[in-house]
Amino acid sequence: MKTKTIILILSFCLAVLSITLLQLKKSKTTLSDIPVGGDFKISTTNGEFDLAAKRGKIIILYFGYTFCPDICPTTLSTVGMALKKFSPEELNNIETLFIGVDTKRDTLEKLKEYSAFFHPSIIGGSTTPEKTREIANLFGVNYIINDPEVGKSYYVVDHSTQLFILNKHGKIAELIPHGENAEIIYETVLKYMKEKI
Amino acid sequence: MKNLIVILLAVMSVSALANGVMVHDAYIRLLPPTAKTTGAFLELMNHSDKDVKLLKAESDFSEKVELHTHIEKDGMMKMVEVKEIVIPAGKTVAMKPGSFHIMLIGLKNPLKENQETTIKLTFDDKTTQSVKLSVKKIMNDMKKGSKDHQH
Repeated sequence: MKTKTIILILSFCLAVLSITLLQLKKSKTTLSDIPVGGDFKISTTNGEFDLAAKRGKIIILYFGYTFCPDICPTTLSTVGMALKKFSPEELNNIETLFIGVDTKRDTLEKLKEYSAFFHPSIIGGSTTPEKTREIANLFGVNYIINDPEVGKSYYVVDHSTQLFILNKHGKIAELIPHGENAEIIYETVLKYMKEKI
Repeated sequence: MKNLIVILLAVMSVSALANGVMVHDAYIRLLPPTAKTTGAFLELMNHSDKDVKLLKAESDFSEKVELHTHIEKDGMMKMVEVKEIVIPAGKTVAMKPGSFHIMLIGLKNPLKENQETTIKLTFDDKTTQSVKLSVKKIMNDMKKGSKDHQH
């Protein structure tokens, strides 16, 4: 009887573990990848962005590059659609920052035009390659700036594609994977906006 | 002369469908005017009972035209060139954001909404198709669209 109970408990634990692992795999994160986030400062098209000074606001954060012909525009246009659902008052409590990781090509001037194309409230941020890597590491974001392939005049950047929703404390509240719709982004932001500090 | 044109057009349209591939919903993604690259997307519907491969896309809209896709590697999206895109018999392949697309590299002019151009597609059976498409601002709901195609 005792052995039976132990086996039962063990199988239950195993089941819980497998489900947890499956869930982790599904969200494409492994334990070591779970980012913690953290405060950072970066130059933007609107002056300096200092996360520590943004308490009380919801931050939508995305890392990409302006040469990006597909993934970034898809995400940013979905973010743009989500932002359109908010009232001007609500928009005052949201800041959307697009960090250009391809620092050579992602000049502030370029970022300004690129970001605003998707929504006027999206701001572009850029800093040195070293600082960019530091900020990306805080959020578990990875990217590789490839050399141009033989015979090609351009180079592409491989990059993580998740969108970060930071709560009023500047902490990562949710990761939204690439390809989610505007409604999900809108509802997630709204949820954290309603939170009391 | 008029007759000749009619005959030519008839021959052309037949040859365009010789491999049974029909092209739907073709468009080019509108990006800010300084963008030097963008993607073209379309749906390829293979009505024949044989697999067909898309080998090449050509256009004078940009310096270079390549067939691309995205692969997920180490948690990152990586854009890569592909040699061919197989359209299985009786199936539809959607070249859509986040997946297969035609990369237009080195745009000759700044992108403008509703601007029109032509892309010539070449298939493995040597047939070609000229596809007319225009520049569109993509603001639709991506997930919804892609979910419908997942099984």
